[in-house]
Amino acid sequence: MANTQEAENTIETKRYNAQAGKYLTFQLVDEEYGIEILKVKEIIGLMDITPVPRTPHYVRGVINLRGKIIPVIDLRMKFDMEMQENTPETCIIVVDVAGPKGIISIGLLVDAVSEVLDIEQKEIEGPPAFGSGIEVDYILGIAKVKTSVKILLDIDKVLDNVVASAITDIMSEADGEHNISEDMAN
Amino acid sequence: MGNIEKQLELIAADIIMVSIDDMPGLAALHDKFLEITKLIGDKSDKVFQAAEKCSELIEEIILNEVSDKEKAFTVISNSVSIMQSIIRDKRKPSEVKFPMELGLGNSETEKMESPKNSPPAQSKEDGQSRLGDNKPQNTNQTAEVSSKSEIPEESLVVNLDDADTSLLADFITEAREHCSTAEQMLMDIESGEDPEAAINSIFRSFHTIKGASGFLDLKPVLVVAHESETLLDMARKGTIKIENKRADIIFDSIDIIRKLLDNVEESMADNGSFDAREIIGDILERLRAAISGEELSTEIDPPPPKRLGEMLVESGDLSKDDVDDLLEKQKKSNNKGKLGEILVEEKKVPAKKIAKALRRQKAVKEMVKIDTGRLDKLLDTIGELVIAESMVGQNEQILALGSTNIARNISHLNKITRELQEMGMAMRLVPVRSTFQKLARAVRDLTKKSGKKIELVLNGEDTDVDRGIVEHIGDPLMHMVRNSADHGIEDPDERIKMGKPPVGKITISAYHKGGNIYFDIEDDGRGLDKERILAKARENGLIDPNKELTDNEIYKLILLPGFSTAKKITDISGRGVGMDVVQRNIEAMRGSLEIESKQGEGTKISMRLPLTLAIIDGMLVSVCDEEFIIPTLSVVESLRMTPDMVHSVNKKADIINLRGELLQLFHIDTLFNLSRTGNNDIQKTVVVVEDSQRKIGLVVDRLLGQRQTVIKSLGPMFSNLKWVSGGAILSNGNVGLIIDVGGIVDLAIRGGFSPDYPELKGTSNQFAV
Repeated sequence: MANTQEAENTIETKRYNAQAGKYLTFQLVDEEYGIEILKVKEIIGLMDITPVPRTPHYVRGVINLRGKIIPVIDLRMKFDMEMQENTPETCIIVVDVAGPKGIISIGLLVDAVSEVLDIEQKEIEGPPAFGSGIEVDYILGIAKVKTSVKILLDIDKVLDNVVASAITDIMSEADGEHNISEDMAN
Repeated sequence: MGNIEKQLELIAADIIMVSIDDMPGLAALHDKFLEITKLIGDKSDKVFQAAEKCSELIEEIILNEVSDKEKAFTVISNSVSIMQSIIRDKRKPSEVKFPMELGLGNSETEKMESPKNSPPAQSKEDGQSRLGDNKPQNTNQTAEVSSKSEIPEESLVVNLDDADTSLLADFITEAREHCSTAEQMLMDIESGEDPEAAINSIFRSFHTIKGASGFLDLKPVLVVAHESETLLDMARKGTIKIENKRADIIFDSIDIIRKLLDNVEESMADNGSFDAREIIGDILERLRAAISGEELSTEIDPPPPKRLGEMLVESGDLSKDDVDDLLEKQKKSNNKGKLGEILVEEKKVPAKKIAKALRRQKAVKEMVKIDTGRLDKLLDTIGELVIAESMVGQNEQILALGSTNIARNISHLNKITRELQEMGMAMRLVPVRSTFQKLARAVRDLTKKSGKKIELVLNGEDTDVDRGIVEHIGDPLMHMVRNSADHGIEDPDERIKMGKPPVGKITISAYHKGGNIYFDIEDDGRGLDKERILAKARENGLIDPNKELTDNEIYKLILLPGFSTAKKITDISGRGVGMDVVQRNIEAMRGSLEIESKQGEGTKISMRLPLTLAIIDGMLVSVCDEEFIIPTLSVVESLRMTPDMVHSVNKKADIINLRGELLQLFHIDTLFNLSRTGNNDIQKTVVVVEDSQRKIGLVVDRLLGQRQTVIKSLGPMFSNLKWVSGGAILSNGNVGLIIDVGGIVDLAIRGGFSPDYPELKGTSNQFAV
């Protein structure tokens, strides 16, 4: 009996790739997210971010992390959530992701960091079949912890297009004008 | 007489390089001997006769008329030494004996003993410090001139009398690295790694050692490296395989090169000399045997001969002391090795060891190679320290305390931090001067060797270049300069025929331009031969025979591995390494190469390198609430903008009339889509920038001053943004973006903005001046 259960779990793990283990959880608007703790390099308080013009709106800019310049991605904007003013709780999670030329560090701007959770395999489920419009690709799985639900992110996938193909100059694209107005609306 | 001497030197050099089966090489040698007979013109002259005989002998070798070619070749090589001793050292022909094979009728004939094992260009007694003398005389030495004879040109006795020690020291460090690389690669081959790449790498290492030792006149290193290279070249072409025996031989030659380097290092301090024959031993024969594919002897190789120093230290017995004594006395007679004199006078042989160690210390400054990654980290940390220090120093609460003690401590901290920062900066940046000096030396030696006349013009020697770049730029520059001198510049006669001044000119320039560092190598030589490049590329199957290529594409073919159109392999260049190495080195630095050439007029190769970590002078400007840095080099001027200066065109574009020159204005806030929060009525400033003859005016809010900043990469994520070349850490710890002027001019003129300036339609009122 135990064997069958284990087998089932493996199937599930394979399908959603979510592993039991420690996750750093954080908030975006009113949702709770988690990323594997091994991907997290450090958490820093909000600092002055130098915007890089002509980049997609979710690229907040660059910061000086002890002499190294790293980009900062606004996760709220990345997930098309509404813009929110920074609060004292706003912070930057620095993650290491694999790029085409090695590991690169990227800062993720989040509303607040919650805690480090030990999530067991049995608490993890695959995401329900959302209707179209929700990208399930980023989601490793969904963890039910007590009464709340944490969305476990595949951070490599989230940043995939940012890292692999590099950021393009949005204003040089054919539909540059369109983007500008969109950006302005934002 | 001078011409004859020069010609003989050329021959002596050729003899080392030419192999028995190298028909064109032999033919060239043949011609050179005939040249000598022409120069002398007197048939009764001994040298004339010898040269004539030599040319005949070569002819016989070429025509396969001699049974033992090696032997005949040795005879020739010995004869050259003797001719040299007559011509250069003014010895009477009657004092010397030519080998009997020349048939010049020497009264006392000398037996030729198996010349096969004799290395070419066997050295003669140098009378002064023939350090190998305590070893039984090599039996296979042939045609020894009388024991008091002088050092022949191609002697294996290395004399460092007038050698440039700093160049030598650099060479030693470099060559040791190459030895290690080659060794590692050999081991990789043995452990079953892909042999092709490894062989190429070992080949290049030897090639570099060969080239450099050639310039520094380190003949022993040169010959060992040359033979090893030949063997590896065969392996590269797939003629032979590098397996156990051959790998052993290559390992041995690496060891021997290392030992030679040790000796050079030791001898450098007192401008001394040493005999390399013992060190070299039979490696040349073994290499040649391996090259000619002879059965490799299964005998265990004799242990490598010991160095003199070691022998002396080891010996300590009387008989050896006597030898030492003798040697030292020789030295004394030349006023050399004062320390050694005293030591020997006091018969304190063990003290020699100390003397040797001392000499070694003096010769080469101990250098530590540091991984640039670590250096970067150190510099980053220093940068952070500077910022943290200023934060503490300017902290209002601390200042409010008004304590003189704290103020003093803070100023002390400040001083130390600045010093540390300066040191850090100095560690990263170096002027290209030392690299250029090496090139100057190389060209000088090349002119000497080839008889060409070349003037070297160096521009921008003080251009500061990132250390990482300097470390990697040396080899490519050297290759290109050698190419220019060897293949580009013609012989004086040919130049005169073409209506050019007899003295060729190579110009090397280093300069910053548009956020890049450029190195230009320009010569006024014969230029690249498109037809020959094409033919060769087709022959090697590098390109589709039916494909039409542009000039530029054709020139770029020379950057492919294994491509060389040189007709003759010399010890200067021409084995088809070279340009692909250059290309690889430059690509590794994320730079690029441009080749321009006009047949008959010259070639210009331009290397563009990014300045990833180089410091640049920048102008800090503010636009809206952001700060940007514009490289000062690209800034022509800046001026206050007054409304009457600006003229609008169709209400779509703004231009200003700058002393009769019309410049188009671009507003950085518009280009970068920055939103303005505060007052829009400020008086703006126009910064006139130029990139490749395109001039525009960038409109900014304010100039904040000049800054020297270290460029930091923004990382791969922003590599598509052409208008930004990097970021700099500003004094408040924030990042300032460094504008790439070329990129922003592109952006302003073409990119992103269609001709009718759509971006101005909606926003122009906002920026009305």
